[in-house]
Amino acid sequence: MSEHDKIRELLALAAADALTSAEEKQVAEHVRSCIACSNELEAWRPIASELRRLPTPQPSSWLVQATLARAEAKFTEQAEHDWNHRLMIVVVAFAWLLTIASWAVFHVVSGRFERLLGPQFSHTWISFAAFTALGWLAGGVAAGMLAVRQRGERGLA
Amino acid sequence: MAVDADVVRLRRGDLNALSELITRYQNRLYRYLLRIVRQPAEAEDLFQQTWLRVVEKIRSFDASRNFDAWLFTLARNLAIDHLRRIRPQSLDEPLANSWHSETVADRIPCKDHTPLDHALAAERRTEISEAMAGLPMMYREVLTLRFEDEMKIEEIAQVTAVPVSTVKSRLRRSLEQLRYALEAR
Amino acid sequence: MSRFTKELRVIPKAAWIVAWFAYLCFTVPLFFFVAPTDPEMGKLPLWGQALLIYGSLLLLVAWVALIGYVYGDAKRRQMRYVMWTLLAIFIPNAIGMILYFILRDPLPKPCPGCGHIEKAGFPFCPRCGTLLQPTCPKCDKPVEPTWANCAYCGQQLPEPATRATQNPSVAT
Repeated sequence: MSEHDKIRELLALAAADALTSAEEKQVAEHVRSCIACSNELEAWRPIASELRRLPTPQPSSWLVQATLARAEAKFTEQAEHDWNHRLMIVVVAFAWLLTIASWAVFHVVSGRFERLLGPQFSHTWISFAAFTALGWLAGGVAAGMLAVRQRGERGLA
Repeated sequence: MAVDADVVRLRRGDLNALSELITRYQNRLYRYLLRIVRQPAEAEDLFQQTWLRVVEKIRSFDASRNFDAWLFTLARNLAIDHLRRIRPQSLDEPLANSWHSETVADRIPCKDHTPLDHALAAERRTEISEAMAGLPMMYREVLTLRFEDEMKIEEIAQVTAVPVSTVKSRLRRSLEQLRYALEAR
Repeated sequence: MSRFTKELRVIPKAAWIVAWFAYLCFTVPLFFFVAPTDPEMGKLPLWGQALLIYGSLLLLVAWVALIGYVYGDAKRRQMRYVMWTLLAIFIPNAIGMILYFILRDPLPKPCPGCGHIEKAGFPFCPRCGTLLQPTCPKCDKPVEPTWANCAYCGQQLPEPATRATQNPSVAT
């Protein structure tokens, strides 16, 4: 492609101020000697300037207020949601810590009783598992009962 | 890149910052959405949805990034999703009824210029906005971001998620098509 | 004041007293009387024993504090706080607490007309009848500010700034 054709491609972008400084120099130099390109460049300018001066469309007067009201509500809702999320993570981690700690305590306590009561408690690991499973089962049953009751209450409201 | 103080305040939970941000961007954001969807009522609805999305995602927004580009990207994604659902063909084809951004008030001559000057300029602008409305969405978008918002090419590349070279070629082709449409009248 | 410190104030003072008292009741005998006599504990250096006993029993403090929180929080949300506190105590491994946090009611706001606090979610105050939150113009159910249409009957809602309400939402 000749230099002239290359410059022609850049002319529209020149009107949009979208050229690199190297490209701008190129165009400026070429335009000094080439009448056709100079005219082309001038032809682009009014279009570019009119595009820049298009009137700004105005939205309805209440748009900002309405958006603000909705956005603020969403914001507080979101803050609550984030907080609850973090809280749940902490509480579940805590629940696991307690579970593990309860195994240790159980181990220590049953260890002592073992010495007093003899070898009946030798299957301590099964006891741990049973104890933990019982705890979670009790929790699950309570959860189910509460959820059913809660749903019933909310449905009536 | 200067960190926007309002954005930092918003991330920390200051609701006044939200009000200031919405007011600050109201014209630019509305105009951008309007250029994409070409229907004022839809643009207003998308305006609200964009800000709701901002509120949702502001906590994961790194304040040192460019807020402008992020905001416009959110708006753009919502607008394109909206168009895909409602009028998928409008993403490429011109609008059947030409729409222009002028209101009747714009046509009232002002005292500074002669009535003729003003009428000619207004007419010219109507032609340009009508011609622009007839371009494909990608072209309208890059024209409005460059000329009306005066966004840098790099920012436009960020918002439209394409490389800088694509933005430049779209800009060039959109100007050429626009000029062609104007000269064909 | 951060959200965390705000929430900490919900825990009644009594809970803190019980928590730290129980902490002392367990750590002191364990460290001074039980640990020296236990063969397994003897394997650890003294600072290791201290760390183990004083550190792990902090879980006890956290547990009592959380129970106190459930009590205080359920009370301010107008829930059955005695039942929930007992559930938090007796369902093992803090599962009762997890349940509470999942199932708890939203925070109620005091009525702007008479100051009465009723459970959250009611659109009118039961004592003075003041409108507490915007309602749908067609079906009168309470609507959220983020809604564009009523979720119960589908009616298109006016913009939030123009909805009838005497109680503009206050950001806490």
